Amino acid sequence: MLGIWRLIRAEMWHRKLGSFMALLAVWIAATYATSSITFFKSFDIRTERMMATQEEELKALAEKNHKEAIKISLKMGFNVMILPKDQILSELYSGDYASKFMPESYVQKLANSKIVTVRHFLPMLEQRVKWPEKNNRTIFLIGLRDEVPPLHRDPKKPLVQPVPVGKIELGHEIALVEKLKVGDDVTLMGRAFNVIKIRPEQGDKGDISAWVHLSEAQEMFGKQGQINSIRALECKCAFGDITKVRKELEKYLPDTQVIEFRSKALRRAEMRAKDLKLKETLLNNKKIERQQLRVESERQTSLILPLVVVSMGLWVAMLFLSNARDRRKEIGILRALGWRSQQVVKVFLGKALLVGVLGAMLGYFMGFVGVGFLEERAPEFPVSYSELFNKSIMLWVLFATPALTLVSAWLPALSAAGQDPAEVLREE
Amino acid sequence: MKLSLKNVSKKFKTVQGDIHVMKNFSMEVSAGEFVAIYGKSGCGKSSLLLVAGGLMKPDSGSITIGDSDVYKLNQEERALSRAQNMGFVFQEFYLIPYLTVKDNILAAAVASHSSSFDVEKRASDLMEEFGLAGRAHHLPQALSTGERQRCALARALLNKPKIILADEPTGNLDTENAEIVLKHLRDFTQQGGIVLLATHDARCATYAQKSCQLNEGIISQSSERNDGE
Repeated sequence: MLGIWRLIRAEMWHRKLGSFMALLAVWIAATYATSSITFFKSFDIRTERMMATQEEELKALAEKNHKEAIKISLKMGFNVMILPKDQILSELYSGDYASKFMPESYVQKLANSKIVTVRHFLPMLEQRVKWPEKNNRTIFLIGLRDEVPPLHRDPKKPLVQPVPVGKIELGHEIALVEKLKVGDDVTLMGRAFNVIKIRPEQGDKGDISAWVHLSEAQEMFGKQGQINSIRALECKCAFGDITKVRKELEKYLPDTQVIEFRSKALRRAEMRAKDLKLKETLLNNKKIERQQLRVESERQTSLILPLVVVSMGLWVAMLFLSNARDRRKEIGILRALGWRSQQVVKVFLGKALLVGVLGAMLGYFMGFVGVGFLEERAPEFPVSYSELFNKSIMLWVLFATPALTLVSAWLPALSAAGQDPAEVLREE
Repeated sequence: MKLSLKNVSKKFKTVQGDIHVMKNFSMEVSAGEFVAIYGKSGCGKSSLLLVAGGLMKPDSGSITIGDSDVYKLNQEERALSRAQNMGFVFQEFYLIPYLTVKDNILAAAVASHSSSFDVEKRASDLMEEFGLAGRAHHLPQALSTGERQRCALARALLNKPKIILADEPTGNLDTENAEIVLKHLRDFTQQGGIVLLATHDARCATYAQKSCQLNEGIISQSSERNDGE
């Protein structure tokens, strides 16, 4: 039995070129729509993946830097020096030691406080002196005692071991020139000491320094109960941020000032921190850049897609109008056979539906497979077909495309159905 | 069943002036009658068939088929009435070029929604009757002119119409094929159908019971045969 669908199929096959051109228009539009939307999905997945990977790398780098910074800070020992407020820093730097004094009890005060930005408090008394027993050679005599642990924290392993009373540690240069070794007895400023350690060569003033117990140094300098600096270690929470340390210390020891040692290691740590910061900024910039690229692509697509759809619609409408003109005789005879105008409309809309469904299927397949093929083979962050597949995109393309094709063919169908059969049949 | 045209007038407006193709034209054709309308080209033969077939509304007058006034029906009802009651045959056959012979014949059934008979069987019977059985799956372009007209006639007969309106059906045919077509039309009237045939082929007079000469929209001469041959 001949039905409308058989008639449509036969007509499409008979007018292959026209039918193919209509199909091509729909096919192109559906391909463009599918590939654009699928590309956005792929773009989002890749961005997410790219950002996650880079954030992970950055996190690992930050972790590494942090650990390294702690390691460095521990290795370099104390990096904060608390000095009397009246200590002129230029004197300190030119004389290589602090010339002003403050009470030793400040250490205890610090230990009793709830300070968090510094720890490992080591009181010191240091003076540049002449060693009368050794041809008046100039040395730095440093008095040290046990570290004072902060009372509100768990005790930590001390960074330095104190020098016991009656013992002395010597710098590398002194030991070398004076031919002193561990176990030797020496006299310094009339006081006898036994050498317990020769410190390795440091290449700084440490090589011409001698370390004794704080109490002995105080006696030798006549500065009982006095110190001229407290060495401390910055907490990791304030590492490299001396302002933070100063702010907190002001609360507990208002008569002091703080300086931070700027070692190479610290600088390196700072450089790394800066590098990390830069990488963070670059990552954020990349994120913004990709977002902007996404917005720009979306903007372009939002301009091009309607243009493609409208062009497709016009193209289909023109082809259907031309088809309706070509089929005037045929429609005339069908009307003479008793076909109603609705049936003629159905013939045209049925053809449009068939073209729309076929075009949508081909377009979706080509758009999806095309983008998927490229994305799956992308050198960085490939996206698989299964990740790209989105049911709603598929349904949207498969339903909207035939609907738009039907809309485009609507007027030509009405014009075909509305033509006067008598006029056509009288033409012969 | 009767086809009546009463006081039908139809004119076409042209730049050169009005052309009256029917002027107060009246005619009554009863079941079993074969009427041939003669006249020169442009005398209004084809227009008469289109008006009678409900395809071209006259300026005045009425056309009734049985009790039904054709132009009082709306366009869709008229189309259905045409599908169920009428068959058209044209000089140019007007077969649909992309449908096979069988589908061309069956195209008439799409409009009629007929359920009183098996259209597939009816189409096969008609093809058999018109010598087209071997051509069922051929396209019109593969047929001879005679076969094309037989196919068009089979299509016109598919829905078992009451009236056949034939416009120069033998115009493009040789004598043998023209006689086959006219014989079939006569057979149709013998089974109670009405044939209204527009022609200038004198051979048709042999088959028609009534012949009318149409001249400038009116019947100028009319003759009847009593023997039915």
